[in-house]
Amino acid sequence: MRLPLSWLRDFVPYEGSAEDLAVSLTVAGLEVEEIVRPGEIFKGVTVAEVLEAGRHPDADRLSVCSVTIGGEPIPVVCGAPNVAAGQKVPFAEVGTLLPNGMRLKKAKIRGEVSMGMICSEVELEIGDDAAGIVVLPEEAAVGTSFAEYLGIDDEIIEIDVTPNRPDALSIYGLARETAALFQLPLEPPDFSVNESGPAASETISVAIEDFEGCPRYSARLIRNVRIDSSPPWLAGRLRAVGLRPINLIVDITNYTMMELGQPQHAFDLRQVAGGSIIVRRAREGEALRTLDEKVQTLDPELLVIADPDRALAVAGVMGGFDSEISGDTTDVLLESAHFNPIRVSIGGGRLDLITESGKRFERGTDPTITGRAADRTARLIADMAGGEVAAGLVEQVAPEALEQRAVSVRKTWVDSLLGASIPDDEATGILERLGFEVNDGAQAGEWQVTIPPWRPDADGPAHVAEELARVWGYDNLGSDTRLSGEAAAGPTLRQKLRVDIRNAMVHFGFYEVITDSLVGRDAAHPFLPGSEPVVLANPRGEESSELRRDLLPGVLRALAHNHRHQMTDVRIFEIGMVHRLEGDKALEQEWIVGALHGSRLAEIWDESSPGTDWFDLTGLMAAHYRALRIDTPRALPYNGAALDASTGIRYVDDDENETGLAGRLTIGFAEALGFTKPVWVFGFRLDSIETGHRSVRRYQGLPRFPAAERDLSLILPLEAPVGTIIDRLKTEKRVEDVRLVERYTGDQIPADRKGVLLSLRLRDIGNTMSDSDLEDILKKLVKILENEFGARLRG
Amino acid sequence: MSSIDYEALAAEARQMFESAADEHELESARVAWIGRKGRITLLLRQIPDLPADERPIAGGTLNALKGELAACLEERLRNLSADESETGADFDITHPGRTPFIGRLHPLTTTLNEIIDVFREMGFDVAEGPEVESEYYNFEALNIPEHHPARGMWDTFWTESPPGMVLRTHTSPVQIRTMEHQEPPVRIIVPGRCYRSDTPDSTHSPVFHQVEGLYVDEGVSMAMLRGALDTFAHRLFGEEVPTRFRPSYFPFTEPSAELDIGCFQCSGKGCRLCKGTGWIEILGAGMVNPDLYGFVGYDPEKVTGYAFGMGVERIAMLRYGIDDIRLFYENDLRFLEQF
Ligand SMILES: [Zn+2]
Repeated sequence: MRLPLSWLRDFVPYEGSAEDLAVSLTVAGLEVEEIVRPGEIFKGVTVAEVLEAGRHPDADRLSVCSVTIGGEPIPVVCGAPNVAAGQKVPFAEVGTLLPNGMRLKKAKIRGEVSMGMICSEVELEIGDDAAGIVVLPEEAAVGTSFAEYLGIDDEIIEIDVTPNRPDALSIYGLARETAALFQLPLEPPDFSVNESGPAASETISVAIEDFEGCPRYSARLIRNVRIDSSPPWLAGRLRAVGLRPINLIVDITNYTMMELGQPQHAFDLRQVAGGSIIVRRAREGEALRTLDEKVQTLDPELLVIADPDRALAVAGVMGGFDSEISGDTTDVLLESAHFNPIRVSIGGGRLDLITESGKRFERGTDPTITGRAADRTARLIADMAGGEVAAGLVEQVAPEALEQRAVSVRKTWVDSLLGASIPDDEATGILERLGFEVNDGAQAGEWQVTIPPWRPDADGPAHVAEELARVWGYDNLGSDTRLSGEAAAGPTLRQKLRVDIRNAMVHFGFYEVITDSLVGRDAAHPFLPGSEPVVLANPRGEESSELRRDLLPGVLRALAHNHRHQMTDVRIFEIGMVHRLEGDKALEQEWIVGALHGSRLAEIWDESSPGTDWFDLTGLMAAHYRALRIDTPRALPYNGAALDASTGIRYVDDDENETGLAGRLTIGFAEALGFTKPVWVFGFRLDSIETGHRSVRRYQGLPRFPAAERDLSLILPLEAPVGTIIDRLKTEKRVEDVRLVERYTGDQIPADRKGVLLSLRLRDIGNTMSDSDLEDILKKLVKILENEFGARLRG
Repeated sequence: MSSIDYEALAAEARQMFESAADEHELESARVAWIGRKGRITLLLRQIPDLPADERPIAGGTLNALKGELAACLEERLRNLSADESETGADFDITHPGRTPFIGRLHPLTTTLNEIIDVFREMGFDVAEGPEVESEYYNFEALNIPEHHPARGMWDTFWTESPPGMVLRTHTSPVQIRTMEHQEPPVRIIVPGRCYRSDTPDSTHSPVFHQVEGLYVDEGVSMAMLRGALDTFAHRLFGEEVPTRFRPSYFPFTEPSAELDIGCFQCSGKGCRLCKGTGWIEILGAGMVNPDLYGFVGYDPEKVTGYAFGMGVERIAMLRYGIDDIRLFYENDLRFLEQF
């Protein structure tokens, strides 16, 4: 809502600065976005009179002129063909920065001094005519600033009005607020009207069929109007509040809407059959050509204004094209109605229209003002368009719509809600200035507060508390920083797990990324093939029409982004929700997905192949599980499309449900993203490791007897699973730990064999083992390896 | 014996240990001084022959010297073996090491963690809820019925499959979900991903993160809300930062408020960041609208509560001086490594 201060001052004698008013309104809940001074762009431009205009001695197309802005004559050279002595013109002094960006300097043009410029429309950016200077009407007063002449020498406060404050969508409503905040008197508009001629009810009638949709409809008849364009002051005020002048009648209805907050509509009486207004629901399939010349097909959800023959307007949203005011309209039927906000909202939604009228009705208008608003509009029409206002208001009303609303409020409750005590007399003063009435309630300490009809939002004691608090000042309520209440329960298992995973990943050198969860139809979902997505009904575009089913595409996009920007040694991960359709429900699952690309270390200079490889990935996974203190889940070969078959792993739980994946992205997939080196990826579901994580651990006594370290050098078939062998050995008694120390192939062993060197730590918790004990254990272990894995001891 | 000059003896011994160039020379020094037949060892053996009053001094001094030499020997030995690979012409103290990768948390996570920390210390628990939400929880139970003008405050994504759900426009639904199954007192914060169909630009992202807070109990007041938010603002933006509490409107709170902090760029004088006002809005808040209690079966005569909500991106942008929200989702390492 734009509030021109000059208009505000019609109703309240506010003499302070625009800045002070802006702060006061803001801290009272009407947030000021901006203070606009539209005249500022014409600073330095003044209405001048041309005293003389003569041919330049050395240039045919130039005139040497002298102008006055009230003082001494000023010499100026002018290039326009239409300049002549006696004209009133916009004149820009030396030093002026013109709206088109030109800065005027003192000049000598072919020997003649020029101390400014007589301006064209283009230089002032008020039109397209560059051929000649702007010639103002004779009555323009010499010496007035051009902005003042245009009626834009004003300050306009732009307010972001919240949906609960329809009363603030009018100049008068804002005047009421200003009066309340600054304790100034409020001067209401002049609602008086001179009536003449036969009673309106002889010509027009109103019948409401749907009182729920329209509790009140007031109409006036104005005869013999003249259709003209609006005078400059009216057009100027409409422009100042952001409306485009159309014609005098429509402009006046818009003017009183902005002034009072009550939208009105003017019908050409000739187009209202029998002068009969009927307010009803639209019929199924009924057609209406609206003002914007679109033909709308209506349905019974919509409320229309009709005559006996047809619909004339969608109530509160937009009028019909056929019944609008036209150049030859003489008699006007003026509508001033109160509509149900929901009905208007449905209408606006169906027509996909946000109109000034709809905006006000949707938020709720004052049902008591319709008659007075019609009076004021009729009066202004009579004053400016020469019409005669027919006697009497023609209206129908549901009496309950005009009933006063009141709430009981315990002042002690308000004080405890606010945590502050506003003195009773201050409180009643605030409420009364805002138009609330305060009376003693049924019980001691209780107030009966009557809600003003322009505050549809206020319906309970909390609203009354808010009105009090906002005028009293939120900053005066105090700030209670003492701790109170019960202790918190603390983080959940999942929340702890997330923290632990993030910490572990960061320790392993990974950057956390957060990627978009809205993806396109075509986004690959390599980790979860075959799943159905959650699809949006109203996406912003194809590229963001679904919720992601898989974090991997986003992680890879982030990796590719960095790759394109020469950051190739990268490790990133994301923790986040993925969604997929499961029956008619959206299933939400939390995953972590990571990717590795490039070097094994951030800086490495002494290895022949420093690139990340499969063992880095699987080692990382093992370390990660170890960091979380959970067993690495069972790994099975992966045979999906995303990962290279020779490297892909599926991690599964005891029931063989997939819990995670790891491996190298298929070459095709990686190349499509611009990668030439291997991209290693992994991911797992958080719920797969939630159980058992961070359970309280019992301390285990430290071993009292020493361990013995023994190496086993084995020759194995190439395909023998080393990890399984290690796990197998660990299941044997007294085998405390087994590590792979070396793995080799080559000349010294057969081509279908590999050599591994395992380092074993053996310990008996009750004894120091003798050499012969150790011999026995090793013999037994070798036997197992021979039988189960085809191993043999090396040389 | 009493004519022994202990200081000269010590100086001579130290000199020999310190000047030893390698392990071999060190071993010679050891044998010569503190070996079984070393000079100090021999002197110690002769102490019983000294006059009684000199014995303690001689014993103390010689034992101290012996200990000192042993320590010196050990240190020299350690240094010699450590230097072994680095001695010689290519010893370069500036040579880069093998450097592991350094990871970092995303700035939104770091910011969220700080927000959570502040409120945890005030006794809040962290609650969570689904991103795909019903219209009931996202709007209706928050006092935003269909056709309510406030619906326009959120540009909502609706789902086609499953039909008729919304991508939550705020994490406020979790307030209702929590109150439905928990009697007062309830004190939670709710972080999470939210969605609004805003046109992406430097300050809008259709996907963003929010933290909501809710505290319902007997006697919860607006002054307590202000106190909690002041504590929060001071923790995240500095103890000195001024705050301003200003009325606003949300359907689920009454009275409603927004919290501003003094503009740290212009110190309140007015600049582009604060649109000339000297204040920057950081969050919305208010007293829980008593209408909400009707949806969850609380008695509005008995309990009152406050709620607040803030955008994590906005808080992070203000804290770090980030001027484009899209940077958070681009994940450029040159951006991420700065936090
Ligand atoms: Zn500033």
